[in-house]
Amino acid sequence: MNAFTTLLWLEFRKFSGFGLALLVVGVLWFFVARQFFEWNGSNLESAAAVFGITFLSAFVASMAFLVALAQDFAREYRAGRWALLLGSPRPGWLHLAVKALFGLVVLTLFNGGMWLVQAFWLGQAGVNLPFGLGASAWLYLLGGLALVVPALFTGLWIAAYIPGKATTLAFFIGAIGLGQVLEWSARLFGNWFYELLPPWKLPAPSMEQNPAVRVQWESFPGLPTEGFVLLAVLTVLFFLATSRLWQEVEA
Amino acid sequence: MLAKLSHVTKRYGKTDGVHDLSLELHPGQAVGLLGLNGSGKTTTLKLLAGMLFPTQGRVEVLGKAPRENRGQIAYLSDADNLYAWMTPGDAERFMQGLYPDFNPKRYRELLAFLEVPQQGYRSMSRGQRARLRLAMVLARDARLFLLDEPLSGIDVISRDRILKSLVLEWREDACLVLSTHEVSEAEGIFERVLLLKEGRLAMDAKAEDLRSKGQSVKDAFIEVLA
Repeated sequence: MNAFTTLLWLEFRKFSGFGLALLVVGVLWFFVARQFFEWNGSNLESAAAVFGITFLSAFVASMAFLVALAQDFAREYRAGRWALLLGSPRPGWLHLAVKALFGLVVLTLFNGGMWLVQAFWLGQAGVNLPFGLGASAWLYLLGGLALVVPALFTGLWIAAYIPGKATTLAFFIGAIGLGQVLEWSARLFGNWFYELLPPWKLPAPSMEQNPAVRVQWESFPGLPTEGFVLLAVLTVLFFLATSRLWQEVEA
Repeated sequence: MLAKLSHVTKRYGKTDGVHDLSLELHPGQAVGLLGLNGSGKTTTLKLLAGMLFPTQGRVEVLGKAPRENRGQIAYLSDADNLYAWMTPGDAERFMQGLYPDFNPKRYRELLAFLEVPQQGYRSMSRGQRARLRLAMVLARDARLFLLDEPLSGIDVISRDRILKSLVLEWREDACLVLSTHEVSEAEGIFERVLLLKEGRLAMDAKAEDLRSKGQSVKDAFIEVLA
């Protein structure tokens, strides 16, 4: 039995309830979006509302899932399960890589599913997708990757300190402090860092059928990818730091 | 020598879990780690398992830090720590994936011997849970077995089966350290007794020597720790 597949199976078993809830949200949203167009009519306002609500619900559900992933660290500690996991001779980074991959896959599937629901009903209303499907999948994939950063970051803190009143306070102060340091770093090194990056851009939107919407979307030049690349780099750094801490944490 | 603690102190804030503890463990030994609540039994086992790091001193298992030799250490926590949804079959998959020395055949034999039902962990009794967790640990080909209170709070039949399984799984190249309050019931399997009092080693004796003096392990326990 492979350690990677075993740990992935463990994550799926732990979060099967949450996965089912995300699936229900996606299916419900499919029917609610249809009803929305029926109530409000197939117009630009309805399309914009459906577009906005999809993004908002995907964001909220993604954040809830990431919080659940981070809380899982603490829950496993309280239940004494770190002894089961830390006792294994498998490397610590493997445990964390599986957690990160699991989070990324779930978020990508959920966000991709929400995107498809949105695209379908907007298409039915005569509004084509503002991005091609491939580009949008990439956007969501990178977005999901970027969202794994706070989860790993939280995991780092929880792994380093046993949760408690004092450490919760330390966590918030530390998170705010590190956020500030990151902001200063971004200001200091941002321009230099961006110059090193290749000039990739996600494609600008194209609207074929609805001229009124086309005017608005065509003024949008496309999404810059530098932020995503920066977040991916930070993810790797946090991942390395968390893996190191996992080797030294007590259970 | 299999494992060694050299002048080990583990501090929790201002309190010492264990203080200046030194001992050696050898292959073929069945060691009873005894003491009252808060005497440092769990801390000692966790230090040997690499779950805790010493504040002072050095812990070695086969010449390395325990965390670097996890493949040789089988640790049974005193916590009721298995996932509630796990069945014995799920536990087998879990152990096979994470512990390369896990022996599925021996695990199934142990499950049968310990009469562990094929049902979810959450619906098992406390004794059944303890037996399942013990089977998971004893099915490993480790050299150092650290069992923290495997007899605590479970029925007489389960206790009897657990003790019998420990005797059956006896290996000369391995060392078994068992902490327990159930001194009188477990003393038949101890070859050596370590008595801890307030984080310090109060007695380190061979069970045979105690018996030759006409003392049982329980008598020594009461005499030293009372």
